[in-house]
Amino acid sequence: MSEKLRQIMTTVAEDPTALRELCDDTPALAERFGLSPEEHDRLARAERLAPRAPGAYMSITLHTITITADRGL
Amino acid sequence: MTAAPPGISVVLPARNEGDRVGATIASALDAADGPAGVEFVVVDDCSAPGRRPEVGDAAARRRTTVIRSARHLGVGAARNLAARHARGRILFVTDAHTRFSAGWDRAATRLLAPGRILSVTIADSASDWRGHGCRLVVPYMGTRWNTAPPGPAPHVHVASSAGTVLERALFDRLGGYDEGMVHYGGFEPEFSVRAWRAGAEIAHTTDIEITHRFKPREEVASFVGAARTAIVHNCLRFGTAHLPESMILEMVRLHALEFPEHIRAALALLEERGAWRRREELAATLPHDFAWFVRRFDLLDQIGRPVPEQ
Repeated sequence: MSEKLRQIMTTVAEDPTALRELCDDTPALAERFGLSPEEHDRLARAERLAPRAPGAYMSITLHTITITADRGL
Repeated sequence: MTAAPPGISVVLPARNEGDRVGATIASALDAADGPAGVEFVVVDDCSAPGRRPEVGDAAARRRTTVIRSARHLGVGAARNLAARHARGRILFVTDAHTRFSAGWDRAATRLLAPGRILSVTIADSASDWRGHGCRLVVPYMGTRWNTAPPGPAPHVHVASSAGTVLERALFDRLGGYDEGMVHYGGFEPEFSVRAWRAGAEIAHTTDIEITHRFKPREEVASFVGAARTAIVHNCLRFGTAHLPESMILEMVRLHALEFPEHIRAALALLEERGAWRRREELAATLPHDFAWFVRRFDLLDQIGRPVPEQ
């Protein structure tokens, strides 16, 4: 799996189509890289972790270390 | 006659901190029970002219070594450089804009033990908020503050870099902060998880309190905006080094959805800086795997699902 993961990540870095598939068309990405149904399922469900509304994740992404109300870092 | 080495080295990375550095050092000396046993190692991380570290007081200057880097190292490499110049048995890692509580040095010496890292309480200089170490957020690879002290068992996932105390020998054994990360973000959670996996423990204490200047929101937005690619890369590198394989792609997609303008550069950096090699090295050398850490803390993912073993 490590080699496949590495290949996917390298391809996404180089190819905008692969990035689009990663974000919006995971079945196409799964087919291209031969992901198992279980692997694809987990990938597809990442959607649930990432609300698409801008800023929806501010409590985490403002900083990986610190956030206190209106202040951070 | 040669002076005895200090017992505690306070290590401070400083980038454009100016006279905040001197105020931090003055606070530490004023609050120490034994100021003679404390030294300060400041790494000036390529500050702009006029914003370099300033230590106005002559007595404080005698206890302070300032190392200037002509290139921007980032907080991890800057802390490692400071640690290499430290002479104390104990390292007190903090930021250049902090204040120390009374008797912090005696408490650090009393509470520390081989194999133990202290997570000290972090207070906000502008409110009554306090942070008691952090907990890991997976697969995002960020952290959230604990806003209450831990229960009877004092252990926390992550010690904040504004107040991390450990023996220099342990810091060396762990290999310091991961210099494969760049500039800013993710250094201390990675260091903490690696420390747990290496067999160390992170114990939180309320006996030492560091008051920290948190940036106001507008300053945060500008700072994080400039550092975003580095932060995304560091999160991905952290996850690639430690997460079970089945969560890595999920982590990448999570960051891709949230930061589509940064993900490709971050992934290119990940490959360039040998993240997969790092994963192999850690797997080969650390006594515990990430699954051990998950079991140790009953860790769930960020929406409450079990974390897979593989």
